[in-house]
Amino acid sequence: MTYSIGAEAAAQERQWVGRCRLGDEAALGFLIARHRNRLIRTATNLLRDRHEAEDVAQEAFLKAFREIAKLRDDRAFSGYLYRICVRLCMDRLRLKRAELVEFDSAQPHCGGAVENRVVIEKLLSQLPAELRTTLVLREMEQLSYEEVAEVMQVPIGTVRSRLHTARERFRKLWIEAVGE
Amino acid sequence: MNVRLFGCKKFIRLSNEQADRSLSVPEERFLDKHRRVCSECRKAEVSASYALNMLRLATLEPEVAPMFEDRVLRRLKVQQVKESLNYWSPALLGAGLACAVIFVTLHLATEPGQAQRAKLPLAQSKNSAPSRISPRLELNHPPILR
Repeated sequence: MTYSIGAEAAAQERQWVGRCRLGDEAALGFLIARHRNRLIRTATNLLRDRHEAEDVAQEAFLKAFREIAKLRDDRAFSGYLYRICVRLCMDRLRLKRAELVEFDSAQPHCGGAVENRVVIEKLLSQLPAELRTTLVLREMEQLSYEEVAEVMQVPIGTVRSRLHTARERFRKLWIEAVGE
Repeated sequence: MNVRLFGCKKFIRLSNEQADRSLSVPEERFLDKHRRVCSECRKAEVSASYALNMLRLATLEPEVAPMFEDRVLRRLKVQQVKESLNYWSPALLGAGLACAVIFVTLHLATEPGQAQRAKLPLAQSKNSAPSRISPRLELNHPPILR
């Protein structure tokens, strides 16, 4: 898994998670420092908003620490935290309404990095939360089908069909937007 | 001239899957054959590849704000306090009510007259206040003996 860690690091993390259960603040700090970049990165790419992404990452940590007692296997903390973060992002995406995209067809897409980013954000906002999340996790976060299935808690077949639909819709939206 | 043929759906599906897995030889052959004859699918494949490349290029790198850990830890403490308050609030409320009841009961028990007056309007309560009985010394007015 992309988000899995080495054996030694995993053993170390298990110790920290155990200490976390006892309320050790240093252990909390260690776990936050270890996982914050990955969580913020994923949340940023899913939500396309850095401030919101940081807020979601904080919420994910709070939720994970609050429910750490429910975690049966300390080794699963990393995936558990990541799942919480993705689910929180999906909840936020569901609440957002799709933006109405209006492109000036007379003015062709000039292809700059910033313009490209803006276009991509608008197109992504047109996709439903499930399709958008699947597409971003696969194409931007480079997760495998199995990892996407585990994070989103759906069968691999569902991931495959969602990804196919998401790519097709994205392609059509892209053609509508930039005419290429 | 645009030509659309049977097998376009299969072409699109396989073209998508090409990015994620290695296709079998017959699948590859089908793609090649279809690509040669179907202009629409050719265009679609190129545009899909371009759109997905653009999507990958738009990946954002994380910007972690300073003091992120501190903020999470602070929020965690606030959350713990709130949770413990939520947990204990029924007990605290019950204890408060019991104290109030005991206080009022004791107050009424020690001053029954005032409790009765408290029920009357202010003016009446003043009038109904028992007049102070001043001690009378009969020394200045000794009884007249006849």
